[in-house]
Amino acid sequence: MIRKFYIWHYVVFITSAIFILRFQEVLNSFTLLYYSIVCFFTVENFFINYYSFSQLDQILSPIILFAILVLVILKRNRWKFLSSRICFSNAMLIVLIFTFLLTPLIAPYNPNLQFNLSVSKLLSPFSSKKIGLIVDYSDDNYTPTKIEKYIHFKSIFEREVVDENYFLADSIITSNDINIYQRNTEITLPNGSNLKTQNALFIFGTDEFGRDIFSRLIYATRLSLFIGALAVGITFILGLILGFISGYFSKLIDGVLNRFTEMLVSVPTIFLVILFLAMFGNSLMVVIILLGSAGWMSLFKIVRGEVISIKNKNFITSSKLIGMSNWKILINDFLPLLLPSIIVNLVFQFANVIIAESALSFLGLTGNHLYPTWGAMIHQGQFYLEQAWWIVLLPSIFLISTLIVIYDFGRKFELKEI
Amino acid sequence: MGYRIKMNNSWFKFSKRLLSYVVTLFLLISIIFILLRISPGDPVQKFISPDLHPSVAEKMMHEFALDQPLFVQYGNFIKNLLSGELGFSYNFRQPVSSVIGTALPFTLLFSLTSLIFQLAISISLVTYVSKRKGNFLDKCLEKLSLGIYSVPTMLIGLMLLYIFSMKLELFPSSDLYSLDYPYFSFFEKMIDIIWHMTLPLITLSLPGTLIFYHYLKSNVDISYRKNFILFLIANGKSEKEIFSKHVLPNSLSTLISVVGVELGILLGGALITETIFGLPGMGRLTVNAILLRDYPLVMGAVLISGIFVLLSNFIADIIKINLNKRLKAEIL
Amino acid sequence: MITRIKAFSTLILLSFLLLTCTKTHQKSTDRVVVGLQNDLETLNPLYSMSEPELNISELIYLSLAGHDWDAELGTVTSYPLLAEEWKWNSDSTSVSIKLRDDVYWSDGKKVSSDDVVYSFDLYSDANVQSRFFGIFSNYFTKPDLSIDLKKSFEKINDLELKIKFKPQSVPSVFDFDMPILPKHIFEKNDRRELATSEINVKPIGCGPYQLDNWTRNQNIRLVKNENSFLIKENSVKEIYFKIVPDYNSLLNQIMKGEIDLAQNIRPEDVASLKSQVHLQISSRKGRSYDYVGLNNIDPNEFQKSGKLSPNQYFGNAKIRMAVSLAINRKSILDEFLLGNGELMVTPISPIFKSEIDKSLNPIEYNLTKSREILRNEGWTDTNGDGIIEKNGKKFALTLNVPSGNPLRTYSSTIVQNNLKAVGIDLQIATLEPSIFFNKMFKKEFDIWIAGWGVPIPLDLKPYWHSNPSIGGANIVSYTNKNLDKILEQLSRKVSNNTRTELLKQFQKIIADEQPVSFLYWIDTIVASNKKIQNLQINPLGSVQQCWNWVIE
Repeated sequence: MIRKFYIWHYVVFITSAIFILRFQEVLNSFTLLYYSIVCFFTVENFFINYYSFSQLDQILSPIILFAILVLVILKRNRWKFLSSRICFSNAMLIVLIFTFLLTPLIAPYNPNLQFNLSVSKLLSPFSSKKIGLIVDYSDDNYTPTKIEKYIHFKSIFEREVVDENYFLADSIITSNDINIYQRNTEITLPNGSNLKTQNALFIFGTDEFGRDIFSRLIYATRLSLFIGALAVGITFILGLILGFISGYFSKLIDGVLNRFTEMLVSVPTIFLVILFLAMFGNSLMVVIILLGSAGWMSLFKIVRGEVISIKNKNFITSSKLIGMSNWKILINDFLPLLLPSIIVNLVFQFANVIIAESALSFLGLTGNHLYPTWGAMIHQGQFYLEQAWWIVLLPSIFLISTLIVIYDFGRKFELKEI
Repeated sequence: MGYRIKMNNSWFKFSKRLLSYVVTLFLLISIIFILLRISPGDPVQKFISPDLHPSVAEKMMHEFALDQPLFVQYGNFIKNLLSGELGFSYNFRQPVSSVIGTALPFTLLFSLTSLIFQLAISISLVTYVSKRKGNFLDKCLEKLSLGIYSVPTMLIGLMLLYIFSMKLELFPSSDLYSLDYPYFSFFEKMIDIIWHMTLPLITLSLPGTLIFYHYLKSNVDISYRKNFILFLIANGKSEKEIFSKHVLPNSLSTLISVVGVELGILLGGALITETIFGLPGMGRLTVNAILLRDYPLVMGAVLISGIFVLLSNFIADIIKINLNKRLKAEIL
Repeated sequence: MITRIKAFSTLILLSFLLLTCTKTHQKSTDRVVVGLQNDLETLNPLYSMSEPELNISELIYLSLAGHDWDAELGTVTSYPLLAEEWKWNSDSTSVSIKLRDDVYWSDGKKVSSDDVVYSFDLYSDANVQSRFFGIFSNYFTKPDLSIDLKKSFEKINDLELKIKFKPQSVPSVFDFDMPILPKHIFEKNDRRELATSEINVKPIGCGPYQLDNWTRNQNIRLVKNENSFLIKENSVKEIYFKIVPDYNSLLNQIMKGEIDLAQNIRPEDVASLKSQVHLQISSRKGRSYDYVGLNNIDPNEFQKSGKLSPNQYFGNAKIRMAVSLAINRKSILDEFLLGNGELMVTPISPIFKSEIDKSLNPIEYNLTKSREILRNEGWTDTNGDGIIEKNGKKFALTLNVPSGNPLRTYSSTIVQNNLKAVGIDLQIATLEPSIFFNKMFKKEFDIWIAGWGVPIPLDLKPYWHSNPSIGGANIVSYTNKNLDKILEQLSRKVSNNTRTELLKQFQKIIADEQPVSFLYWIDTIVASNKKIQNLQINPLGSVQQCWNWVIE
């Protein structure tokens, strides 16, 4: 029965689901957009002083959501992919794309938000607790300026820490006085305090710091895919250019580059990678560059082979005679022919990079970034394997599914042009 | 006459290959040497603490010859290398060769066993499946293989550890030997090692087995469609003979090249497996040495690993050349 | 092919059957197995630095005196070991030591006072660079810090000698409790080569246990020395140190009874270990603590010119207090250490019961107070980005943490989160220990998390004196003239009452000024098999006085 549905049905379904489930957040994003625009025109130096990328992220998310919805409905007949049937790979691919683009919308909490540890440590999936929010209505007569409203709103939106005004509790009982229960401690607030109670549902549970795993997983997906994509980009550029140089120009350069590549292939890359990480530090850029530079060899061979076989053909010689620069020849003449095999190679390379990055962060070699990656989550979770196996299981499921999707698509690309 | 010229040609290529390997090795060592020396971090760090006098650290620096210029250190290193000495490990206070000597045999044994395991299982599977085309096992493997292949080594290891060691307590979770190993009889020692190595071996071999299986199977399928097989069938040769004498060797040659690549991957995979299962091998030794800035040990370990990878590639090349010649002779 | 597979599989099946049959083994009953996570590097007391190295080398080589811990008073008492007795003279400037008559090295030669003198010669020799080099300040020393043997030692006969100390110094048993080395073995080596000689791995000792076998990275086997006066009939015959680098397998082996004694058990495993009938869990308290280092001086200026100028963030004691108020150390203690520790007030360990000031309480967790202090000092958030600023400068720093320590990795995340709540933005940088400690000692960090192990007996000067040559461990460069005076007075001979009073003042100053943000004292959790009698697990160690161990 599931097979009857097309991709575009599925996309519309997911988009609507996100919209309904995260309605509050969509509203919040638009409010933020409104405030941003107002402040942009009224406050000087708004962009420099008060604005940051995370707000752009928040604001763009619902816009992207609607854009996807509209796009898919309009193009459902024109784009072949949207009219193909659902299978596991397709469905998972859509999920990954959505997770990548709409991260702030889907994730309920900030991935670094550590809730009160006594209440939220290592909760199992589907646990629910209560959030207490104390709103300060101290100055009723004071009308805040636009910028202050913006700041206030933003801080509610992007809550990063719990403190005495925002906390997690096992239960909050409001009778005469407000009683707040946090595991073994009981806090009582007098009746006058403005305490709002919300429900907190931890779909995937929490980790040892009390952070919501679902949110972390969403952001981890984005970061892992991002690292993979950039690294593959570097591989692409390196492999293409070096392969082209090697195949197109003199035999001497070819020989040298060939030897060099062979040398790199025969070296146990993993040791060099570890060594470089230890030496140059483990910041994000270093990791990406390293992963990108470790895998261009196979692309190099493919490009070089193809370039050598094509370079004496007529249309290439004619381009040369016209006087096109080598660079233009590469882009206009070679690239379209090379593209199919390059894409196949890059797809598999993408999988390799993701595995490599997970392995390195699992061994603990890639350090702390602001957001986690799948490998980093598994690394942190392996110490709690017995008590909280879900911390390892959930990122692993995402990791494995992503790899399955990549391999599947790689094989499909490979077969499409035998 | 023509045959002899061909022989010379292949020997020439052979020695060119050998030379390129040696050059590669040399470049590898030099690069690592330079990298290690410029990286921050100090092997003498442990000698600086409030209980110890500051000149202790200075003396250690001198003893490790770290206060001499770069060229002198490099020259010394190469000189020692050529005479077979790999230097002195800072952390173990022993010659690097003996430190590596305690870890290398294990890693070799582990990787080799894993390789044999992978080859044996994949070849047996292919043999079994190609006899009865399209049976249950075939379809099963087809679907499962992609799934299992996508699971990275570390997850397989963690999963096996969790299920078989923590929950079911069937296998030990780490180490190579049990406590009373020295008291065991020879037979019991063997059993003990096998018992400890089961989970790590499965972890390491699973992805490789699947790759081999896939590769081999597609090659076998292609071979079956070739004309000369039809010719042999028409001639009345038995199924078994066709398979073992013609189809298999043909496909094996392409498998050998994959084996060469797989060995490189094995070393990396062995690293993770050794970490998860606490096995005393080269992988863990090297990583720890890097983290502790034990320069001589890192150099020695990478050198040895590099030599082995190159060696295995080399052997793979030789086998490939030999197999090809034989096949060519047989077909013609 | 098929038959081959069948044969192979039946072989495997047979082996597994045999495996299950032959699993019960005779374990040696007269053996204690101690689990270690790292191999030793040397068994030479000259270079033994890690705790297992010290423990084992002291079993092989005897010291003149041994130490006991009095838990009630929190003090150390000494008892004679190699020395039969020692007598201080009236003004404690010299001590007469009489050696036991019945101690022999494992090659048969008798231990004599020549060995004692030679040992101290080696320990203080600048060419040897032993771990004790430079600490013999109570002895008469030459300019290169080695002991002046003629002035310090007077040999009366083969079993008696006298040690003379510098006048005006305060010597104690701790000045001569180093392990004694065999002169006739050690003098065979060139002093500069001692670090790499064979003695490091094949020791000749006179102690209650001798080295039987050392398989690197696997195990160390000690067997009891029947000739030692410490060994009784029922002393444990064999102590086997098993090296298990992987913590999980170490834990597993403890649970199964394959390892009898292991330290550094993680707090989260205590519950499951306690449920095992044959195991006993003890804690060694108050020997190590963690802290958040707040550099009192500006690191950039110090790097450039060596000048000490106050740190723009933490040079002010009030800011440091605000940081301490904002860190919820109790949550780390409860959630990660699971209560296996104690909140810290001052660097004087709570095990020194007679010396700590019980009236001082640990700093509370109070975000409002912290914010108020920061605001009063001029730090406010003017642009609503969550980070406080002062004069256009953001309170944003890098928190440096050494890798490989789960507690510090955990607490760094909590500290980062806690300080974010008051507007201080921290980026965590995890460095390899060698790099980290290198930079820390060079005072390159603004804020970091590290820890110290505290010596017994109490020694505060190296950690808190402002003079860099005296206070070598005063990484934050905390300067307080009053404190310096107190520390100097403490190192002179004072009455007990004066000492208590001085320590009280010391603690008050530290608590008020918060030179660093003290986190907590960490318990070392030890798991042991109940079958071992007479285990002594106290702040001094867990593998000690092994000759008293008896297996029931």
